[in-house]
Amino acid sequence: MILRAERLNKWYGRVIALNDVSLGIEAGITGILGPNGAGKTSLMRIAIGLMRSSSGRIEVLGQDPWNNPALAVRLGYCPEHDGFYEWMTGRDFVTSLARIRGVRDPRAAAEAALERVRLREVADRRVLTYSRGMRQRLKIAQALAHGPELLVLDEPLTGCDPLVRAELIALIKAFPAEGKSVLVSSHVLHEIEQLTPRIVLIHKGRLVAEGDVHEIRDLIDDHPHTVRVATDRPRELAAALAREEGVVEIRFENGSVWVRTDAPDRFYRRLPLLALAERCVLREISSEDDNLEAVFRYLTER
Amino acid sequence: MRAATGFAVLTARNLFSGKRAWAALLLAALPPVVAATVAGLGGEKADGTLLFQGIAFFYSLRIMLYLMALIFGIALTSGEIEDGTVGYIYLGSLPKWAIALIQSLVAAAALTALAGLSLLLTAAAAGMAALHPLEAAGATAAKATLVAGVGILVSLTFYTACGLAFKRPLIVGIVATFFWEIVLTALPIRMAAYTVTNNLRALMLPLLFDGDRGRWYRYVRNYDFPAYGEAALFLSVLTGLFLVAAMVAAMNRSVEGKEAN
Repeated sequence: MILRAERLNKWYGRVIALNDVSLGIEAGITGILGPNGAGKTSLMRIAIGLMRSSSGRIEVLGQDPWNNPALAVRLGYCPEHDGFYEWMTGRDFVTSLARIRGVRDPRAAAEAALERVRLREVADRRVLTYSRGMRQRLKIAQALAHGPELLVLDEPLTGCDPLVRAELIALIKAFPAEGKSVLVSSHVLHEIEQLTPRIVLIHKGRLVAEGDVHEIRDLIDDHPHTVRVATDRPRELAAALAREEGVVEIRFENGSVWVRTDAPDRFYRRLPLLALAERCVLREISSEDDNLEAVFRYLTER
Repeated sequence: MRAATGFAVLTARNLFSGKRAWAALLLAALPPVVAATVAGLGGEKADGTLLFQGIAFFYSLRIMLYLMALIFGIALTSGEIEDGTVGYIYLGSLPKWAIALIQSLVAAAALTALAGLSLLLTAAAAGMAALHPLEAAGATAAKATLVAGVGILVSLTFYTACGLAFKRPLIVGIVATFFWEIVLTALPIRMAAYTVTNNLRALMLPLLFDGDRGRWYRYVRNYDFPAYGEAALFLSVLTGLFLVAAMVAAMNRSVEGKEAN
């Protein structure tokens, strides 16, 4: 077992981030699913030793992560938000972090990690100039460079375009074959579903369910989804989407198309094909929390 | 050791990137510019020795070092949370106490070097004055740098400890400095002997003023002034206390910044 938590609690003043969470996670890829503010990041930060729990116990790779540098170097963490030494080049960033993690040959380790995430060609550019997708890949590169046993990835696919998303999914799915385990969070079921069937559901700091994604999926599909699609030709894409089965509402906001669909599977399958046919560049696809919120309400109230 | 060296290099590079570097450079550039202007425009009345001592006494060894230490001490700690880089640092092979120690020592060394350069250029400018041009500018600047280094180390460790222990370190640091250093230093009471400023002045007296309470010391009001040895001991103990406080605070630091949930 790579992670075991017993009655884990975390409070920020009067706000409860984690409420009596007990769980066990086996080696391999495990998805942590929950809407924003559910407590996913808190759980991850406690698991990597960045944050201390208010009460309860947690063990990662058999050790308490709090103030445990020997364990910290066995973990790789990709934070949700961007935090970089913006003045550095990508290569410099990964090399410097590999060095402070005690890697014998940080340059070689950084090169291998950058190659792995396909960033070598732009590695000499300053991080300041990187696109959203490049930044996500750079965060994963720094998490990989020191050869960790467990990767903790907090919303690694957020804001990525479909191509980068597909690349990152392929990359993450390859880790277990190398003996690495992955803990990956998301608020989008379809993202997690592409990575692993094993999920942990968290809502308002509580563990709602854990197990196979397919059972949750059936519940999700009963509820309409709202998806935001950022594209260079929103009107053309909207016209094409309007002809699709299952699309119940389309609206425009801040240059993006907001689509409400009661057939999300079909929607996600058809969207790239429609974009190709209409010659639209898809810049970003993001799903609102409402989809999951409805399911979580159902799960917590039943 | 490899990780410690790597972290020291990263800290030094991070210190001198962005706005903080410009602020430090501006603070350091002011004394030589003022000294050169006064020496150049003062004509026959420009007194080099008095000029250097005045600038060192009132600006470099008081205002400059506190501001530098405040900017960098807070930036080293809460700045990492603002930048979102603290997670990368704490997930290294170094314990948190070592991170706090390395950050404090590297920053103190870097700022002392900058202060030293500033004082050397100020001394060189004062050496060009017509009246009593400053002699042995290099040696005088080195002595002043020694005092500056002590001041920076004690102030920086204090602000670093504040940054690690409090949620609003800037306010705590500024309030403490104001009441302890600015108000208390100016009062003619026994407690004034326990301020950093007066202990730095006690170091300055034999090093920069040849033990003579000259013209610039007439502004120092408190009657109870520590001896050189007492000042050295007091500042060493204070640095040690602040450093230990910073290391303990670092070990208890749970990163619950804006990304926490």
